[in-house]
Amino acid sequence: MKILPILCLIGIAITFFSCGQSQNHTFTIENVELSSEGPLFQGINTATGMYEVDLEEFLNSIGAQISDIRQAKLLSAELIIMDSMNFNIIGDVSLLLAGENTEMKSLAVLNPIPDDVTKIQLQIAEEQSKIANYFKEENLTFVVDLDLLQDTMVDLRMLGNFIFELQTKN
Amino acid sequence: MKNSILISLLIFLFSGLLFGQADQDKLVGVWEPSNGKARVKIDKIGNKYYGKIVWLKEPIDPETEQPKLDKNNPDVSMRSAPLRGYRMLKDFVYSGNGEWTEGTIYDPESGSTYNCVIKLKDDNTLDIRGYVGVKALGRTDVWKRLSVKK
Repeated sequence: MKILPILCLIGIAITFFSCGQSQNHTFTIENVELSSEGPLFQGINTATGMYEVDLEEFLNSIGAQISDIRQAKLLSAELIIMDSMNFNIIGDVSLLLAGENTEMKSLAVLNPIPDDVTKIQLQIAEEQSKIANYFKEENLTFVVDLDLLQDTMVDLRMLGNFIFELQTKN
Repeated sequence: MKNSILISLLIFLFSGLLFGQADQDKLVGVWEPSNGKARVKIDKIGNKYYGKIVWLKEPIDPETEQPKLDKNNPDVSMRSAPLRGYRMLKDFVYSGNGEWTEGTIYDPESGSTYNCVIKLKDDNTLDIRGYVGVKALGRTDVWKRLSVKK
């Protein structure tokens, strides 16, 4: 009977020591160009942008290695529409992230989009699991699904700025 | 003689690659599930295939009289996402023989996500099999390509 509490204590100790201490760092990905080639027709369209994952400088600055990354979370997602357009031509947007070896995840949404703006902050998903796996990819694809409210004959281009929190073991 | 054999071999290999590519891209297009409630556009991003809802038979939610939202999403913070535009098929990889595997399908009516296998029965018909755990215990729906190829 006495063995059960001892096993529990051992379990707690293992969990505590295996988790160890961790640190949170902010990692910013800026100016990702997301584009969709025109002409584009009213309705659901998609703009995509590729980001080559390069954490070397960041990891050096915090004295960590790629294997030290335990968790990641998207904190902020900003989209800026280019070419003198504004977001009045778009009803709503959803941001997803995809990688060659990591399943696609919906990470943010904005519905509706305020009037007469060229820059929007998306509402971030509360549930984000296995995001750290994206940072072990060579490339990430940012995907923006959008509801175009009118036809446009030109390309649709946006810049994306994304702030992630990366948790590393100490 | 050697050169002609080499060229023939290269042509054979290259055409094989082309046909293989054409086979896997047969999934790309707009498809309608058997219930006719939606139309799903499947496209390719990187080397994987994804499908988003582009049309709803009943786009307006009778309760709110607004466009339908993903109101059953298990993540409450994402329930403001519109259903039209939602990516319900994700991460399918072509595994040969007209089959795409390793993907998932989302059921907006329950908010549940299932493992899924897609099988091309003919150029305009898909068998979409959703399952939890064991493939044999799943359910298959037949989807039809919207614009039938002539």
